[in-house]
Amino acid sequence: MMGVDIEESSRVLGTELVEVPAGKFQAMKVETKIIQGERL
Amino acid sequence: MAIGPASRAPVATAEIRLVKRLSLAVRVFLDGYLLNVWARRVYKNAAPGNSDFGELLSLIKYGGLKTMIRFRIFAALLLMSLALLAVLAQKPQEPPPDYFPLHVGDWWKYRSTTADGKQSDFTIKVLSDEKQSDGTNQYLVETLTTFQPIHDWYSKPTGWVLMHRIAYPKNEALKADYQPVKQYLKNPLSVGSSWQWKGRG
Repeated sequence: MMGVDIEESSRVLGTELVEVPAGKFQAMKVETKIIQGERL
Repeated sequence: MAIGPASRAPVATAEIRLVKRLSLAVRVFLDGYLLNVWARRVYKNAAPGNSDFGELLSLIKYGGLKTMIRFRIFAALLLMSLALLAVLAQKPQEPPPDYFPLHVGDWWKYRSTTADGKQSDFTIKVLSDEKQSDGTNQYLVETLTTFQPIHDWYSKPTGWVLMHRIAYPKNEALKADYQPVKQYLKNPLSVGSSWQWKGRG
């Protein structure tokens, strides 16, 4: 949906070693909570 | 996204302090060494009536000069040892990683796997950049999925990754400008930091 009110709240949780077929990556985990309103 | 290339580390004030300490230690050491040489010569050559005898009297007058010289040499060696330890203890300063590198032409290919095993591929590519009035660049990033292309515009002023707008080029009605500009990520990221954005888009 587009043209709507949005509220986002993010925080950085910490690093994590993520292993995928392309290799191992030291990644940073970010958690975002999104509240998306009605179409205007 | 991948971690960006490391940039040149700034000259740290700690390094300047270290150079000053080393310089001081060398000066104190040389000072103490020369005084010691002088004192040895005076003790060796002094005889009643010669000039060294007068200097010997000065040495006696300033009793404890030898002790002072030894102390200064000891202090200099101690300072130099501490400075050396500081050098060994110092780790090279690396800039914090940039988790959102944007360079025109760069691309990343992803494979997403859901919990029930369904896979889908998508590719993200930095298509272009455009200078803004505030001096920062605005980057057009394209995401190619099996659905349809998505265009996003980002900029990276100091401390932030900002998201300006989003559009689906195959459907002109599907587009949105974020008002105000969305604070997408802090940059660099530090554990425990947080931010909020409230707007329309």
